[in-house]
Amino acid sequence: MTLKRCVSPEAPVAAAAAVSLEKRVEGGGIRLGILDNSKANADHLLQFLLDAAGGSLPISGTVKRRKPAASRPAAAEVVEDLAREADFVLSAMAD
Amino acid sequence: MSAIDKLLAEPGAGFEAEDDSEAAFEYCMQHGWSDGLPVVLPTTERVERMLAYCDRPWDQPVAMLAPRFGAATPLRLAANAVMAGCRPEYFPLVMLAIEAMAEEPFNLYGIQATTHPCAPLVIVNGPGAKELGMNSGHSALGAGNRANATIGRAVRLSLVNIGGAIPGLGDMSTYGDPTKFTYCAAENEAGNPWQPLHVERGFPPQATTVTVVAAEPPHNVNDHESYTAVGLLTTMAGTIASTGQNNTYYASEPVVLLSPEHAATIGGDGYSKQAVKDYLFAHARVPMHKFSKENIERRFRMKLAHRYGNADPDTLVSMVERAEDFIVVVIGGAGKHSAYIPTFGNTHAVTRALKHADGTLVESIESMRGT
Amino acid sequence: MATLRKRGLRTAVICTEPFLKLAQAQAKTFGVPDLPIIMIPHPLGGISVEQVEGRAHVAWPQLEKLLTEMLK
Repeated sequence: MTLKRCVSPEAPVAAAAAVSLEKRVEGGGIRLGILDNSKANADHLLQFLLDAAGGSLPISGTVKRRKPAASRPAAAEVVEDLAREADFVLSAMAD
Repeated sequence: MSAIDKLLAEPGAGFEAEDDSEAAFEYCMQHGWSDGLPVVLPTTERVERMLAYCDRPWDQPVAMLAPRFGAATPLRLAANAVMAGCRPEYFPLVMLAIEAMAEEPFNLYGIQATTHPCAPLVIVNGPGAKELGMNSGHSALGAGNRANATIGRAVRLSLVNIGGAIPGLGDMSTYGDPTKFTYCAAENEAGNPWQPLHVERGFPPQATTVTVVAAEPPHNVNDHESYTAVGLLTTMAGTIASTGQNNTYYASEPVVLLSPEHAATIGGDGYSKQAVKDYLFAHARVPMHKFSKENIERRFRMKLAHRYGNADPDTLVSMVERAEDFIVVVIGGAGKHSAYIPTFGNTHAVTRALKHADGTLVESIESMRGT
Repeated sequence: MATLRKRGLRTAVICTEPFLKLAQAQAKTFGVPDLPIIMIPHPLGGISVEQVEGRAHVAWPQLEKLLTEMLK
Protein backbone atom coordinates (compact mmCIF):
# COMPACT_ATOMS: atom_id res chain seq x y z
CA MET A 1 0.00 0.00 0.00
CA THR A 2 1.57 3.28 -1.10
CA LEU A 3 0.69 6.34 0.93
CA LYS A 4 0.39 9.70 -0.79
CA ARG A 5 1.14 13.07 0.75
CA CYS A 6 -2.10 15.07 1.01
CA VAL A 7 -3.28 18.54 2.02
CA SER A 8 -5.57 18.80 5.02
CA PRO A 9 -8.91 20.47 4.17
CA GLU A 10 -9.37 21.54 7.77
CA ALA A 11 -8.39 24.71 9.58
CA PRO A 12 -7.28 24.38 13.19
CA VAL A 13 -9.58 25.84 15.82
CA ALA A 14 -8.56 29.44 16.36
CA ALA A 15 -8.24 30.04 20.08
CA ALA A 16 -7.56 33.57 21.18
CA ALA A 17 -5.45 34.13 24.30
CA ALA A 18 -7.54 33.63 27.44
CA VAL A 19 -8.62 36.67 29.43
CA SER A 20 -8.44 36.56 33.19
CA LEU A 21 -8.97 40.15 34.33
CA GLU A 22 -12.25 40.59 36.16
CA LYS A 23 -13.70 43.59 37.92
CA ARG A 24 -14.24 43.56 41.62
CA VAL A 25 -17.42 45.01 42.96
CA GLU A 26 -17.04 48.43 44.53
CA GLY A 27 -19.27 49.82 47.20
CA GLY A 28 -20.88 46.53 48.17
CA GLY A 29 -23.51 46.30 45.44
CA ILE A 30 -23.54 44.66 42.05
CA ARG A 31 -24.63 46.54 38.98
CA LEU A 32 -26.38 43.86 36.97
CA GLY A 33 -26.83 44.13 33.22
CA ILE A 34 -28.75 42.01 30.76
CA LEU A 35 -28.33 41.76 27.02
CA ASP A 36 -31.48 40.52 25.34
CA ASN A 37 -30.58 38.84 22.02
CA SER A 38 -34.17 39.09 20.74
CA LYS A 39 -34.65 35.33 20.58
CA ALA A 40 -38.03 34.07 21.70
CA ASN A 41 -38.54 34.40 25.47
CA ALA A 42 -35.02 35.69 26.15
CA ASP A 43 -36.56 38.93 27.43
CA HIS A 44 -38.91 37.14 29.84
CA LEU A 45 -36.19 34.83 31.14
CA LEU A 46 -33.73 37.64 31.76
CA GLN A 47 -36.36 39.74 33.52
CA PHE A 48 -37.28 36.85 35.83
CA LEU A 49 -33.62 36.55 36.74
CA LEU A 50 -33.24 40.31 37.28
CA ASP A 51 -36.22 40.16 39.64
CA ALA A 52 -34.78 37.16 41.50
CA ALA A 53 -31.42 38.89 41.91
CA GLY A 54 -33.02 42.10 43.13
CA GLY A 55 -35.01 40.18 45.69
CA SER A 56 -32.09 38.46 47.40
CA LEU A 57 -28.76 40.11 46.63
CA PRO A 58 -27.35 43.65 46.97
CA ILE A 59 -28.06 44.88 43.44
CA SER A 60 -27.12 48.53 43.28
CA GLY A 61 -28.36 49.06 39.74
CA THR A 62 -29.64 47.34 36.63
CA VAL A 63 -29.11 48.05 32.96
CA LYS A 64 -31.10 46.41 30.19
CA ARG A 65 -30.03 46.42 26.59
CA ARG A 66 -31.20 44.54 23.53
CA LYS A 67 -29.67 43.65 20.20
CA PRO A 68 -32.19 43.33 17.39
CA ALA A 69 -30.66 40.16 15.87
CA ALA A 70 -29.15 37.23 17.73
CA SER A 71 -26.69 36.47 14.96
CA ARG A 72 -25.07 39.91 14.83
CA PRO A 73 -22.75 41.38 17.47
CA ALA A 74 -24.26 44.02 19.74
CA ALA A 75 -23.87 47.58 18.51
CA ALA A 76 -20.82 49.39 19.80
CA GLU A 77 -22.90 51.81 21.84
CA VAL A 78 -24.73 48.91 23.51
CA VAL A 79 -21.40 47.38 24.48
CA GLU A 80 -20.21 50.76 25.80
CA ASP A 81 -23.34 51.22 27.87
CA LEU A 82 -22.97 47.82 29.46
CA ALA A 83 -19.24 48.22 30.04
CA ARG A 84 -19.81 51.55 31.74
CA GLU A 85 -22.92 50.79 33.75
CA ALA A 86 -22.63 47.12 34.75
CA ASP A 87 -20.34 44.86 36.77
CA PHE A 88 -21.96 41.63 35.56
CA VAL A 89 -23.75 41.05 32.26
CA LEU A 90 -26.04 38.16 31.54
CA SER A 91 -27.17 37.08 28.09
CA ALA A 92 -29.15 34.25 26.56
CA MET A 93 -27.03 32.49 23.98
CA ALA A 94 -28.93 29.78 22.26
CA ASP A 95 -32.26 28.08 22.47
CA MET B 1 11.49 21.16 -1.68
CA SER B 2 8.44 22.37 -3.66
CA ALA B 3 6.30 25.32 -2.63
CA ILE B 4 3.53 23.04 -1.43
CA ASP B 5 5.91 20.84 0.55
CA LYS B 6 7.14 23.91 2.44
CA LEU B 7 3.57 24.78 3.39
CA LEU B 8 2.88 21.23 4.51
CA ALA B 9 5.81 21.41 6.93
CA GLU B 10 3.48 23.17 9.37
CA PRO B 11 1.99 20.67 11.88
CA GLY B 12 -1.46 19.52 10.84
CA ALA B 13 -1.24 21.02 7.37
CA GLY B 14 -0.84 17.67 5.67
CA PHE B 15 -1.45 13.99 6.11
CA GLU B 16 -0.73 10.73 4.35
CA ALA B 17 -3.32 8.35 3.01
CA GLU B 18 -3.81 5.60 0.47
CA ASP B 19 -4.91 7.00 -2.89
CA ASP B 20 -7.64 4.45 -3.41
CA SER B 21 -11.21 5.71 -3.86
CA GLU B 22 -12.70 3.55 -1.13
CA ALA B 23 -9.84 4.06 1.31
CA ALA B 24 -9.90 7.82 0.70
CA PHE B 25 -13.63 7.97 1.41
CA GLU B 26 -13.25 6.01 4.63
CA TYR B 27 -10.31 8.10 5.77
CA CYS B 28 -12.08 11.41 5.14
CA MET B 29 -15.32 10.19 6.73
CA GLN B 30 -13.46 9.13 9.86
CA HIS B 31 -11.93 12.59 10.11
CA GLY B 32 -15.29 14.29 9.60
CA TRP B 33 -14.26 15.87 6.31
CA SER B 34 -16.93 14.43 4.03
CA ASP B 35 -20.58 15.40 3.61
CA GLY B 36 -21.48 11.73 3.63
CA LEU B 37 -20.68 11.18 -0.05
CA PRO B 38 -17.42 9.91 -1.58
CA VAL B 39 -14.66 12.46 -1.94
CA VAL B 40 -11.52 12.66 -4.04
CA LEU B 41 -8.34 12.42 -1.99
CA PRO B 42 -6.61 15.84 -1.88
CA THR B 43 -3.13 14.67 -2.82
CA THR B 44 -0.47 17.31 -3.27
CA GLU B 45 -0.47 16.67 -7.02
CA ARG B 46 -4.22 17.27 -7.30
CA VAL B 47 -4.11 20.32 -5.05
CA GLU B 48 -1.24 21.80 -7.07
CA ARG B 49 -3.22 21.37 -10.28
CA MET B 50 -6.10 23.22 -8.61
CA LEU B 51 -3.77 26.00 -7.42
CA ALA B 52 -2.53 26.56 -10.97
CA TYR B 53 -5.60 28.81 -11.26
CA CYS B 54 -4.74 30.81 -8.16
CA ASP B 55 -2.68 33.98 -8.50
CA ARG B 56 -2.54 34.74 -4.76
CA PRO B 57 -0.11 33.48 -2.12
CA TRP B 58 -1.28 30.00 -1.24
CA ASP B 59 -0.97 30.46 2.51
CA GLN B 60 -2.60 33.88 2.84
CA PRO B 61 -6.23 33.64 4.00
CA VAL B 62 -8.83 35.04 1.63
CA ALA B 63 -11.36 34.91 4.46
CA MET B 64 -11.82 33.81 8.06
CA LEU B 65 -14.81 31.49 8.15
CA ALA B 66 -17.21 31.47 11.07
CA PRO B 67 -18.08 29.94 13.47
CA ARG B 68 -14.61 28.48 13.93
CA PHE B 69 -13.03 31.53 12.26
CA GLY B 70 -10.73 29.17 10.46
CA ALA B 71 -8.31 30.67 7.97
CA ALA B 72 -9.52 29.94 4.44
CA THR B 73 -6.21 29.88 2.61
CA PRO B 74 -6.10 29.01 -1.08
CA LEU B 75 -4.26 25.84 -0.06
CA ARG B 76 -7.09 24.62 2.17
CA LEU B 77 -9.79 25.77 -0.25
CA ALA B 78 -8.02 23.88 -3.04
CA ALA B 79 -8.01 20.72 -0.91
CA ASN B 80 -11.78 21.06 -0.43
CA ALA B 81 -12.25 21.73 -4.15
CA VAL B 82 -10.34 18.56 -5.00
CA MET B 83 -12.44 16.59 -2.53
CA ALA B 84 -15.62 17.98 -4.06
CA GLY B 85 -14.60 16.79 -7.51
CA CYS B 86 -13.87 20.19 -9.05
CA ARG B 87 -11.87 20.55 -12.20
CA PRO B 88 -8.99 23.00 -11.65
CA GLU B 89 -10.60 25.70 -13.77
CA TYR B 90 -13.58 25.82 -11.39
CA PHE B 91 -11.35 26.90 -8.51
CA PRO B 92 -11.45 30.69 -9.08
CA LEU B 93 -15.24 30.65 -8.63
CA VAL B 94 -14.95 28.58 -5.44
CA MET B 95 -12.57 31.15 -3.97
CA LEU B 96 -14.72 34.04 -5.17
CA ALA B 97 -17.84 32.58 -3.56
CA ILE B 98 -16.02 32.10 -0.25
CA GLU B 99 -14.75 35.69 -0.34
CA ALA B 100 -18.26 36.94 -1.03
CA MET B 101 -19.70 34.98 1.90
CA ALA B 102 -17.14 36.41 4.27
CA GLU B 103 -18.32 39.97 3.63
CA GLU B 104 -20.10 41.46 6.62
CA PRO B 105 -23.54 42.03 5.06
CA PHE B 106 -23.89 38.33 4.28
CA ASN B 107 -23.62 37.42 7.99
CA LEU B 108 -21.87 34.09 7.52
CA TYR B 109 -21.68 33.56 11.26
CA GLY B 110 -25.45 33.67 11.57
CA ILE B 111 -26.04 31.42 8.59
CA GLN B 112 -23.52 28.77 9.61
CA ALA B 113 -24.68 28.26 13.18
CA THR B 114 -28.41 28.87 12.91
CA THR B 115 -31.24 26.42 13.46
CA HIS B 116 -32.81 27.87 10.29
CA PRO B 117 -32.34 25.39 7.43
CA CYS B 118 -30.52 27.44 4.83
CA ALA B 119 -27.33 27.26 2.80
CA PRO B 120 -25.46 29.67 0.56
CA LEU B 121 -26.92 29.71 -2.93
CA VAL B 122 -24.27 30.65 -5.50
CA ILE B 123 -25.62 32.29 -8.67
CA VAL B 124 -23.04 32.72 -11.43
CA ASN B 125 -23.26 35.37 -14.14
CA GLY B 126 -21.08 36.49 -16.99
CA PRO B 127 -18.91 34.77 -19.60
CA GLY B 128 -17.18 32.51 -17.09
CA ALA B 129 -20.36 30.50 -16.63
CA LYS B 130 -20.40 29.50 -20.28
CA GLU B 131 -16.63 29.00 -20.35
CA LEU B 132 -16.93 26.43 -17.56
CA GLY B 133 -19.91 24.75 -19.15
CA MET B 134 -22.21 25.60 -16.26
CA ASN B 135 -25.90 24.77 -16.50
CA SER B 136 -28.47 27.54 -16.43
CA GLY B 137 -31.30 25.57 -18.03
CA HIS B 138 -33.06 22.29 -17.33
CA SER B 139 -32.07 20.92 -13.90
CA ALA B 140 -29.69 23.81 -13.29
CA LEU B 141 -30.35 23.49 -9.55
CA GLY B 142 -30.50 19.73 -9.80
CA ALA B 143 -28.08 16.98 -10.69
CA GLY B 144 -25.98 16.25 -13.74
CA ASN B 145 -23.67 19.20 -14.34
CA ARG B 146 -20.19 18.82 -12.91
CA ALA B 147 -19.44 22.55 -12.58
CA ASN B 148 -22.73 23.35 -10.83
CA ALA B 149 -22.49 20.34 -8.56
CA THR B 150 -18.85 20.54 -7.56
CA ILE B 151 -18.46 24.31 -7.20
CA GLY B 152 -21.41 24.28 -4.81
CA ARG B 153 -20.04 21.23 -3.04
CA ALA B 154 -16.56 22.73 -2.68
CA VAL B 155 -18.09 25.79 -1.06
CA ARG B 156 -20.06 23.61 1.34
CA LEU B 157 -17.12 21.39 2.28
CA SER B 158 -15.01 24.50 2.90
CA LEU B 159 -17.66 25.97 5.17
CA VAL B 160 -17.68 22.74 7.17
CA ASN B 161 -14.00 21.84 7.22
CA ILE B 162 -12.58 25.34 7.55
CA GLY B 163 -15.50 27.20 9.09
CA GLY B 164 -16.53 24.46 11.50
CA ALA B 165 -20.18 24.20 10.39
CA ILE B 166 -20.31 20.60 11.54
CA PRO B 167 -23.87 19.29 11.82
CA GLY B 168 -24.96 19.35 15.46
CA LEU B 169 -21.81 21.11 16.67
CA GLY B 170 -21.39 24.26 14.61
CA ASP B 171 -24.31 23.91 12.19
CA MET B 172 -27.45 23.75 14.31
CA SER B 173 -29.90 23.50 11.41
CA THR B 174 -33.00 21.87 12.85
CA TYR B 175 -33.55 19.35 10.06
CA GLY B 176 -30.88 20.38 7.55
CA ASP B 177 -31.84 20.55 3.89
CA PRO B 178 -30.63 18.98 0.62
CA THR B 179 -29.03 22.24 -0.50
CA LYS B 180 -26.38 21.72 2.14
CA PHE B 181 -24.75 19.28 -0.28
CA THR B 182 -24.55 21.80 -3.14
CA TYR B 183 -26.48 24.85 -4.28
CA CYS B 184 -25.08 26.52 -7.35
CA ALA B 185 -26.31 27.46 -10.82
CA ALA B 186 -25.73 29.95 -13.58
CA GLU B 187 -28.41 32.47 -14.48
CA ASN B 188 -30.09 31.86 -17.82
CA GLU B 189 -29.05 35.20 -19.28
CA ALA B 190 -30.22 34.30 -22.77
CA GLY B 191 -33.67 33.58 -21.39
CA ASN B 192 -33.78 36.74 -19.31
CA PRO B 193 -35.86 39.53 -20.92
CA TRP B 194 -34.25 42.08 -18.61
CA GLN B 195 -30.75 42.85 -17.42
CA PRO B 196 -28.82 39.90 -16.02
CA LEU B 197 -28.57 39.86 -12.25
CA HIS B 198 -24.97 41.06 -12.11
CA VAL B 199 -25.62 44.03 -14.40
CA GLU B 200 -28.64 44.99 -12.31
CA ARG B 201 -26.38 44.88 -9.26
CA GLY B 202 -23.86 47.26 -10.84
CA PHE B 203 -21.32 45.08 -12.63
CA PRO B 204 -20.33 45.31 -16.30
CA PRO B 205 -21.80 42.61 -18.55
CA GLN B 206 -18.35 41.22 -19.33
CA ALA B 207 -17.63 40.54 -15.66
CA THR B 208 -17.91 37.00 -14.35
CA THR B 209 -19.59 37.24 -10.98
CA VAL B 210 -21.00 35.18 -8.15
CA THR B 211 -23.97 36.33 -6.09
CA VAL B 212 -24.31 34.51 -2.79
CA VAL B 213 -27.64 34.30 -1.01
CA ALA B 214 -28.31 32.64 2.35
CA ALA B 215 -31.20 30.68 0.94
CA GLU B 216 -33.75 28.10 1.90
CA PRO B 217 -34.46 25.43 -0.71
CA PRO B 218 -36.67 26.64 -3.58
CA HIS B 219 -40.45 26.53 -3.20
CA ASN B 220 -42.03 25.75 -6.54
CA VAL B 221 -44.52 28.10 -8.16
CA ASN B 222 -46.60 26.09 -10.59
CA ASP B 223 -48.65 28.04 -13.11
CA HIS B 224 -49.60 26.44 -16.43
CA GLU B 225 -52.61 28.61 -17.16
CA SER B 226 -51.78 32.28 -16.70
CA TYR B 227 -50.76 34.02 -19.90
CA THR B 228 -50.48 37.53 -18.53
CA ALA B 229 -47.96 39.17 -16.22
CA VAL B 230 -50.66 39.89 -13.68
CA GLY B 231 -51.80 36.29 -13.81
CA LEU B 232 -48.35 34.87 -13.18
CA LEU B 233 -47.48 37.44 -10.55
CA THR B 234 -50.77 36.73 -8.79
CA THR B 235 -49.71 33.10 -8.47
CA MET B 236 -46.22 34.10 -7.38
CA ALA B 237 -47.56 36.58 -4.81
CA GLY B 238 -49.89 33.96 -3.43
CA THR B 239 -46.99 31.56 -2.97
CA ILE B 240 -44.80 34.17 -1.35
CA ALA B 241 -47.47 35.26 1.12
CA SER B 242 -47.05 32.87 4.01
CA THR B 243 -46.84 33.01 7.77
CA GLY B 244 -43.72 30.91 8.31
CA GLN B 245 -40.81 32.81 6.87
CA ASN B 246 -38.16 34.92 8.52
CA ASN B 247 -38.09 37.51 5.76
CA THR B 248 -41.24 38.94 7.29
CA TYR B 249 -39.39 39.92 10.45
CA TYR B 250 -35.92 40.90 9.28
CA ALA B 251 -34.49 43.10 6.53
CA SER B 252 -33.43 40.52 3.96
CA GLU B 253 -33.57 39.68 0.26
CA PRO B 254 -35.54 36.62 -0.84
CA VAL B 255 -35.19 35.36 -4.38
CA VAL B 256 -37.87 35.25 -7.07
CA LEU B 257 -36.63 32.65 -9.53
CA LEU B 258 -38.48 32.86 -12.84
CA SER B 259 -38.35 30.20 -15.50
CA PRO B 260 -37.57 31.61 -18.97
CA GLU B 261 -41.17 31.00 -20.10
CA HIS B 262 -42.68 32.80 -17.14
CA ALA B 263 -40.12 35.61 -17.51
CA ALA B 264 -40.94 35.95 -21.22
CA THR B 265 -44.66 36.28 -20.47
CA ILE B 266 -44.09 38.86 -17.75
CA GLY B 267 -41.52 40.83 -19.76
CA GLY B 268 -43.60 40.53 -22.91
CA ASP B 269 -46.48 42.21 -21.06
CA GLY B 270 -44.27 45.26 -20.57
CA TYR B 271 -43.26 44.57 -16.97
CA SER B 272 -39.75 45.59 -15.95
CA LYS B 273 -37.90 43.88 -13.11
CA GLN B 274 -38.79 46.77 -10.85
CA ALA B 275 -42.45 46.46 -11.83
CA VAL B 276 -42.28 42.79 -10.87
CA LYS B 277 -40.85 43.70 -7.49
CA ASP B 278 -43.40 46.47 -6.97
CA TYR B 279 -46.28 44.13 -7.80
CA LEU B 280 -45.06 41.42 -5.45
CA PHE B 281 -44.41 43.90 -2.66
CA ALA B 282 -47.94 45.24 -2.97
CA HIS B 283 -49.70 41.90 -3.34
CA ALA B 284 -47.67 39.33 -1.43
CA ARG B 285 -49.18 40.18 1.92
CA VAL B 286 -50.81 38.33 4.77
CA PRO B 287 -53.42 39.85 7.11
CA MET B 288 -51.90 40.05 10.58
CA HIS B 289 -54.70 38.01 12.08
CA LYS B 290 -53.55 35.01 10.03
CA PHE B 291 -50.40 34.83 12.17
CA SER B 292 -50.51 33.04 15.50
CA LYS B 293 -51.57 34.91 18.61
CA GLU B 294 -48.09 34.43 20.06
CA ASN B 295 -46.35 35.81 16.97
CA ILE B 296 -48.68 38.80 16.93
CA GLU B 297 -48.03 39.55 20.60
CA ARG B 298 -44.33 38.82 20.73
CA ARG B 299 -43.04 39.63 17.26
CA PHE B 300 -45.29 42.18 15.63
CA ARG B 301 -46.43 44.13 18.67
CA MET B 302 -43.15 44.04 20.58
CA LYS B 303 -40.16 43.43 18.35
CA LEU B 304 -41.63 45.21 15.33
CA ALA B 305 -43.46 47.78 17.39
CA HIS B 306 -42.28 50.60 15.12
CA ARG B 307 -44.22 49.05 12.23
CA TYR B 308 -46.99 47.05 13.84
CA GLY B 309 -47.21 48.17 17.43
CA ASN B 310 -50.74 49.55 17.09
CA ALA B 311 -51.67 47.98 13.77
CA ASP B 312 -55.18 46.72 13.17
CA PRO B 313 -55.46 42.89 13.02
CA ASP B 314 -56.52 43.22 9.37
CA THR B 315 -53.31 45.07 8.48
CA LEU B 316 -51.69 43.46 5.47
CA VAL B 317 -48.18 42.41 6.49
CA SER B 318 -45.61 42.59 3.71
CA MET B 319 -43.13 39.77 3.28
CA VAL B 320 -40.19 42.14 2.79
CA GLU B 321 -39.44 45.68 3.96
CA ARG B 322 -39.13 47.18 0.49
CA ALA B 323 -39.94 46.13 -3.06
CA GLU B 324 -36.21 46.36 -3.88
CA ASP B 325 -35.51 43.56 -1.42
CA PHE B 326 -36.76 40.97 -3.90
CA ILE B 327 -33.96 39.52 -6.01
CA VAL B 328 -35.29 38.52 -9.44
CA VAL B 329 -33.30 35.95 -11.39
CA VAL B 330 -34.04 33.74 -14.42
CA ILE B 331 -32.97 30.10 -14.18
CA GLY B 332 -34.26 26.97 -15.85
CA GLY B 333 -35.29 25.41 -19.12
CA ALA B 334 -38.65 24.86 -20.76
CA GLY B 335 -41.63 24.60 -18.42
CA LYS B 336 -44.14 26.60 -16.44
CA HIS B 337 -42.44 26.35 -13.06
CA SER B 338 -40.81 29.20 -11.23
CA ALA B 339 -39.77 29.35 -7.58
CA TYR B 340 -39.72 31.48 -4.50
CA ILE B 341 -36.66 31.18 -2.30
CA PRO B 342 -36.94 32.69 1.19
CA THR B 343 -33.74 33.34 3.10
CA PHE B 344 -32.20 33.46 6.53
CA GLY B 345 -33.49 36.45 8.47
CA ASN B 346 -30.63 38.84 8.94
CA THR B 347 -28.60 38.71 5.74
CA HIS B 348 -27.98 40.49 2.47
CA ALA B 349 -26.90 39.00 -0.82
CA VAL B 350 -23.36 39.83 -1.92
CA THR B 351 -22.07 39.97 -5.50
CA ARG B 352 -18.39 39.86 -6.34
CA ALA B 353 -16.60 39.92 -9.68
CA LEU B 354 -13.71 37.69 -10.66
CA LYS B 355 -10.54 39.72 -10.84
CA HIS B 356 -6.85 39.14 -11.32
CA ALA B 357 -4.51 39.89 -8.43
CA ASP B 358 -3.88 43.32 -9.96
CA GLY B 359 -7.56 44.16 -9.70
CA THR B 360 -8.46 43.92 -13.38
CA LEU B 361 -11.53 41.99 -14.42
CA VAL B 362 -10.91 38.47 -15.59
CA GLU B 363 -11.90 38.13 -19.22
CA SER B 364 -11.44 34.40 -19.40
CA ILE B 365 -10.91 31.94 -16.57
CA GLU B 366 -8.31 30.14 -18.66
CA SER B 367 -6.24 33.34 -18.58
CA MET B 368 -5.86 32.79 -14.83
CA ARG B 369 -3.95 29.59 -15.30
CA GLY B 370 -0.34 30.00 -14.30
CA THR B 371 2.52 28.05 -15.76
CA MET C 1 -19.95 38.89 25.71
CA ALA C 2 -16.30 38.17 25.06
CA THR C 3 -15.77 41.86 24.39
CA LEU C 4 -17.29 42.76 27.75
CA ARG C 5 -15.21 40.12 29.47
CA LYS C 6 -12.08 41.61 27.95
CA ARG C 7 -13.17 44.97 29.35
CA GLY C 8 -13.04 43.42 32.80
CA LEU C 9 -16.71 42.65 33.38
CA ARG C 10 -17.98 39.33 34.62
CA THR C 11 -20.33 37.76 32.13
CA ALA C 12 -22.39 34.61 31.74
CA VAL C 13 -24.53 33.20 28.99
CA ILE C 14 -27.63 31.09 29.34
CA CYS C 15 -27.69 28.04 27.14
CA THR C 16 -29.76 24.94 26.50
CA GLU C 17 -28.21 21.49 26.15
CA PRO C 18 -28.29 21.10 22.31
CA PHE C 19 -26.24 24.30 22.02
CA LEU C 20 -23.70 23.65 24.77
CA LYS C 21 -20.90 22.41 22.52
CA LEU C 22 -21.35 25.37 20.17
CA ALA C 23 -21.28 27.75 23.13
CA GLN C 24 -18.12 26.18 24.51
CA ALA C 25 -16.42 26.23 21.10
CA GLN C 26 -17.35 29.86 20.57
CA ALA C 27 -16.12 30.82 24.02
CA LYS C 28 -12.78 29.24 23.21
CA THR C 29 -12.60 30.90 19.79
CA PHE C 30 -13.27 34.32 21.28
CA GLY C 31 -10.69 33.97 24.03
CA VAL C 32 -12.97 33.30 26.99
CA PRO C 33 -12.75 29.52 27.40
CA ASP C 34 -13.93 29.64 31.01
CA LEU C 35 -16.97 31.81 30.25
CA PRO C 36 -19.63 30.68 32.73
CA ILE C 37 -22.49 28.93 30.96
CA ILE C 38 -25.79 28.69 32.82
CA MET C 39 -27.74 25.64 31.66
CA ILE C 40 -31.50 25.49 31.42
CA PRO C 41 -33.81 22.84 29.94
CA HIS C 42 -34.45 22.98 26.20
CA PRO C 43 -36.27 24.69 24.57
CA LEU C 44 -36.59 28.33 25.53
CA GLY C 45 -38.53 29.38 22.43
CA GLY C 46 -42.07 28.30 21.77
CA ILE C 47 -43.07 27.85 25.42
CA SER C 48 -45.42 29.80 27.66
CA VAL C 49 -44.30 32.54 30.01
CA GLU C 50 -45.14 30.23 32.94
CA GLN C 51 -42.77 27.65 31.52
CA VAL C 52 -40.13 30.35 31.05
CA GLU C 53 -40.48 31.13 34.74
CA GLY C 54 -39.72 27.47 35.41
CA ARG C 55 -36.53 27.82 33.36
CA ALA C 56 -35.63 30.87 35.45
CA HIS C 57 -35.95 28.77 38.62
CA VAL C 58 -33.35 26.39 37.16
CA ALA C 59 -31.05 29.23 36.12
CA TRP C 60 -31.27 31.25 39.31
CA PRO C 61 -29.13 29.08 41.65
CA GLN C 62 -26.37 29.03 39.03
CA LEU C 63 -26.55 32.80 38.59
CA GLU C 64 -26.79 33.39 42.33
CA LYS C 65 -23.57 31.45 42.84
CA LEU C 66 -21.76 33.58 40.26
CA LEU C 67 -23.06 36.84 41.69
CA THR C 68 -22.25 35.82 45.25
CA GLU C 69 -18.65 35.16 44.26
CA MET C 70 -18.36 38.81 43.26
CA LEU C 71 -19.23 39.90 46.77
CA LYS C 72 -16.42 38.00 48.48
